Amino acid sequence: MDIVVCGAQKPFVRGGAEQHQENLVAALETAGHRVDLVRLPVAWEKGRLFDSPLAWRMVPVDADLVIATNFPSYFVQHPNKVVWLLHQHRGAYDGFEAGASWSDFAWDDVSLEEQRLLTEWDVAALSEARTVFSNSGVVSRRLARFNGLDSTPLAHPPPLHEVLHPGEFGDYVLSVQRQEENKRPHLLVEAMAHVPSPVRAVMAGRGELLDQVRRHVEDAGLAGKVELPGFVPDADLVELYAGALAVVYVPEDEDYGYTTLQAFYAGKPVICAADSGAVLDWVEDGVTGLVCDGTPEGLAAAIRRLADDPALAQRLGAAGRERIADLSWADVVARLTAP
Amino acid sequence: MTAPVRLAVHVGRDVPDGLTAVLSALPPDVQPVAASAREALPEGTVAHLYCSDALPRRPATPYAVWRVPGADVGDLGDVPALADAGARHVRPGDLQVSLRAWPDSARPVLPFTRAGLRRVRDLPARLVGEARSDGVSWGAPGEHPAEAPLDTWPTLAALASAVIATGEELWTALAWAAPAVTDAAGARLLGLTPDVDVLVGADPVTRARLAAELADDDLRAARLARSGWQTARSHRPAGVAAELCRRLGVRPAPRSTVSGLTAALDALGTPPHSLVRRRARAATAGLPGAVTSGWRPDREEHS
Repeated sequence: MDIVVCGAQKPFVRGGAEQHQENLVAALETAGHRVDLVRLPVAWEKGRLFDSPLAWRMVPVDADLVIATNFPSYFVQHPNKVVWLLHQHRGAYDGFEAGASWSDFAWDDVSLEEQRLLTEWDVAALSEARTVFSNSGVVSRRLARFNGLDSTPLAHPPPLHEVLHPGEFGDYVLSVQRQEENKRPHLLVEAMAHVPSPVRAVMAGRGELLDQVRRHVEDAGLAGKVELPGFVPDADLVELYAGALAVVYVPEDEDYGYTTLQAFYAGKPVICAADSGAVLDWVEDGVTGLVCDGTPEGLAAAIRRLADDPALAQRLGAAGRERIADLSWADVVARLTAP
Repeated sequence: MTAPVRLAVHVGRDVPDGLTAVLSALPPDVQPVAASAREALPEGTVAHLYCSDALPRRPATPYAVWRVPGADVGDLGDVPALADAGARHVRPGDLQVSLRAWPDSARPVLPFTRAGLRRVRDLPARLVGEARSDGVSWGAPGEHPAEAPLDTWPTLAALASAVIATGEELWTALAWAAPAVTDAAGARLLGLTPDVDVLVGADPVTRARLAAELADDDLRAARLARSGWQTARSHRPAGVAAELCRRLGVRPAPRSTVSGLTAALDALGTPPHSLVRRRARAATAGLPGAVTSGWRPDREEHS
């Protein structure tokens, strides 16, 4: 089949969504399809919010199948449209509801009319799809609650899944993420003040908060205990996963989160928070990881528990590895392209 | 210039009003033409629509059937069938046509948005509205409701967590995407599926209980509101005409870019004075032919 994968992109920003789209293209090509990736820029602020959806509406896409991945690419019109939804415009939905700082929607009539119209547009565009998949239970639940639409969660292997491997359980917890507000990097820094040596934290990844978090570490006198290497090459990252005691991933209401799955491929337990969203699709407290209350003290207690009981860490990590044993891109491709 | 595609319409003695409405609502590039077995088909005929009292033994394909009362054509399989909404001879899966007027000012307000509208107006977090023949009542579930005149119903239909209504008031509520409770006759008359488009209660006490539960269940309210709104909307002649074309494989010619922009905005339900319409006009105003090839923003914004 000739398949066009559609995705939105914020210029100069590269994250999980872009990786996801490229991995999907690769998986479809491996399955023998001819595939192209079409991206259009997106703006998130209210004043320009509807421009990109309208542009997608007018883009002529000649293909046997289109697979739209994120807001607003699912506004593309095609008689054979499948949506694999990574996220909607969260600032108009859950971010708005939670009063998140990254949402510019306020409790006034202008914002509510914009939000209402976006809801109507989303329902119209998503209802055209032959099938709507989501990438997690959290995204499906949001779609059901905000738009009244059903969807089927469809999980996929994370990047590096083919090279990640278990290793020794070392003396550090690993965090792999962009250092941004919704990932709550300060939480781990504050928690480490309550974790005795020799346990360390390695926080891999860049992001707009990186310098601020580095200053936080310095100011808290945790320089020898918390490392912030910034960007880490893939090969080094694989070894960091392999040697960790556990992986800490405490985002706020995450859509999917590759870190959790990468940790499981490396046989490591994941410590998350009770409000970490889709991470909780995978992390079951005491089974594949530990779910803390989202406070620095609670997170520190979870880290200490695993540091004091490496056998527990191994058991949870092994269960996590078993949990992702059936994930495959071949299955994803088969379901997305099924007639 | 692209020749229009033609839909041959084979009617019996009378042309039902619902059918006339659907044919009038076909996309501009799809022309309905009267046809009979004794005459040659006009050039460009791509599909057929038969009234069930004029359905031959071997219909030309592809075709659809308009169900006429008393002319039972049995199981049609995959053939699209159309009928008046709520008619007794409607079968599951039929495209149901309603001639009820769609309230022009109605906009779908799903539960999350309506909760926000209540919040900014200091209304109760949960609010149930009921339409009766002599007026409306509204209030928080379990509390003594306030009374109001019937002409306040559209406002209530836009704001309430759940509504109880039948007949025209139910239709209005669905146009505003209100999570709705009705009786069995009310659901059947509008061609609605119980538990999918509306909740159905046999008596006032049951309906009040269902509405109170609905007001407290965001997830169910959202599903019901979205489905009820889309189903009611799909019964409008334009909705049926579009779906009929889709099922028959009749594809109108693509619109020119600029009129297509307007068509896209219209199809998404964009209000006339919305910001995105102004931005679209600004973005295309400087393009050669933008105003002369059919796009009339002045009319849209001021009509």
